[in-house]
Amino acid sequence: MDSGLNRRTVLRLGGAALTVTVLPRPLSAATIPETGDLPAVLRAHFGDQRPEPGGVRLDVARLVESGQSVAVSVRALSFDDPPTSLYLFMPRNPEPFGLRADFQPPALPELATRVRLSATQNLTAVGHWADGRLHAESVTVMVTRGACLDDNYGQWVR
Amino acid sequence: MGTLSLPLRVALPSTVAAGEVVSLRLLLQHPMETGYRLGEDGARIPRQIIQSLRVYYADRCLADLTLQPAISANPYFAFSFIADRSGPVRIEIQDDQERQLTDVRELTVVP
Repeated sequence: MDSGLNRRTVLRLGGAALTVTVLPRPLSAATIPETGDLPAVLRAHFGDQRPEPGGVRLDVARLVESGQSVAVSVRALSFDDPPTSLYLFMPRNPEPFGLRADFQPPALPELATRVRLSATQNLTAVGHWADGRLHAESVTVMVTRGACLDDNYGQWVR
Repeated sequence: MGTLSLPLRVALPSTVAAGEVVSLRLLLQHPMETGYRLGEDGARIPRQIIQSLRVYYADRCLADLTLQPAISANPYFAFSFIADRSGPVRIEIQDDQERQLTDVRELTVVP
């Protein structure tokens, strides 16, 4: 009996197939969490102009137990060239636009507050300068328990 | 336009030196009801949020905030500004039913 397709070959092939098809799934799920469609959120707000990195600083914990109240602080990196407005976006919240703050001298372009996060996502601060420049910083905040924790939880997470 | 009556705590020094960076912290007692939660009876709890907060200092608008339900219940805000003259610091808060709350503190700036 020399058909080439004996029990051992089948097992070996099957094993190889398993490694190929099964392995990538848990790996990708563990390393790349769902963080929301930030480009779509920014496009809805600022049109085709894409914010550049730098210019604003977003300080927030990377891992929070509860999304009900997350301490956030945003500031412009340079107080000599301040933005006119700062924004906060939560791309996976039911309403991704969280806050807009317009500043005028002698105010310093910085703000601290507490926000709700429905799930793990890329919390994003955007600065808007008078000459039209847009700068943004995103931080992936891992949220253990989201802010919208009730019976219809799944309905409200984007 | 009605008046909004809710506890507001304001942390602001009364006297500062000219050129000093002043920190203003506000803590409001407000549910910031999102409009997404369901009550005991299964009905949607209507949205009720603070939607605007403005800070004026010596008749200049320092900060004009537009707020959405993503701001936590009992909202907290910290601002900073440079003291350049004595004058009132006025805080104006408005909810989504157009009710207003105004709070004024005096800031004395010494040279």
